Amino acid sequence: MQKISELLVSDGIVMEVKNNEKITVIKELAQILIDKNIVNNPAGFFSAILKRENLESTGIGQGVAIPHARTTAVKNIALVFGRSQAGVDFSSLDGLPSHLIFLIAAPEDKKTEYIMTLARLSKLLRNNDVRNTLLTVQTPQEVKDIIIQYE
Amino acid sequence: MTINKILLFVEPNTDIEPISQFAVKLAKRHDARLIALSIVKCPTPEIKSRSEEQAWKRLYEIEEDAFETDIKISLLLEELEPINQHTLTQKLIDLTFTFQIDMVIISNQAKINLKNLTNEITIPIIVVPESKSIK
Repeated sequence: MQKISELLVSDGIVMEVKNNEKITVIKELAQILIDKNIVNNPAGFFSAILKRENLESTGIGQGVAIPHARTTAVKNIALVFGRSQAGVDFSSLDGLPSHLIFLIAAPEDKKTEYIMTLARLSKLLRNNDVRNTLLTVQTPQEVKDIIIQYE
Repeated sequence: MTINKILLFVEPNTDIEPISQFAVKLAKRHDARLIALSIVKCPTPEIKSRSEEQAWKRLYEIEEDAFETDIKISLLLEELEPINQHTLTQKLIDLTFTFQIDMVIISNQAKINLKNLTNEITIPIIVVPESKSIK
């Protein structure tokens, strides 16, 4: 299984997202995958990820959200990260806005790897040190270094 | 009686497929939101880390079941230190009030003190045998 740091696409770390609303933030992060031709069917991908958002609260609490989709619109698991100092409402059960947003795209036929990636990332982000450091680092390389250090 | 929120408690190291499918079907029947809960024990950082990954895996498996059935779902991971039957049960009781739960589903293998649970909460509690399924 690939590590979280290996799944993060190059130039897929946004130190401050431009948007402050859930759907527009998701579109902003998804656009990175589209621009890099990781998503081969943008409409299908948006449809899959927005359906999830309608059914699930992908905000997992403690200021973290992991919007995700398993779809035929991608061929490999890919991950992008965006940070929001203001926070974005991802309907977390704890009521807190999300500052650390990881978007995961996975192929339809990679269910096991997809669930393991979600589980590993969620576990990683339960670590207070990881979250606090991700909130304060200045560069994409530092973000990646923190993930490598703790995963 | 209207059932808007169903709390499904699962233990990380058990087979959750029967109880997950049961809960999803019940949530579908009531058009209710499912809140999938796991509580990890953390006597040491290593055990905590392993338990958390396993618990998240279980929760995301339930999420997949719910998604495939168009059920609204939220995932919740809580931790207890130290853990024992009383504190685990009390945590479950507290969460039913916090999230205004209308129904609780637990496995018959869950280390929950059912007597305490039924004494403290008045909502329906369904205890599902490991092999239980509904049509």
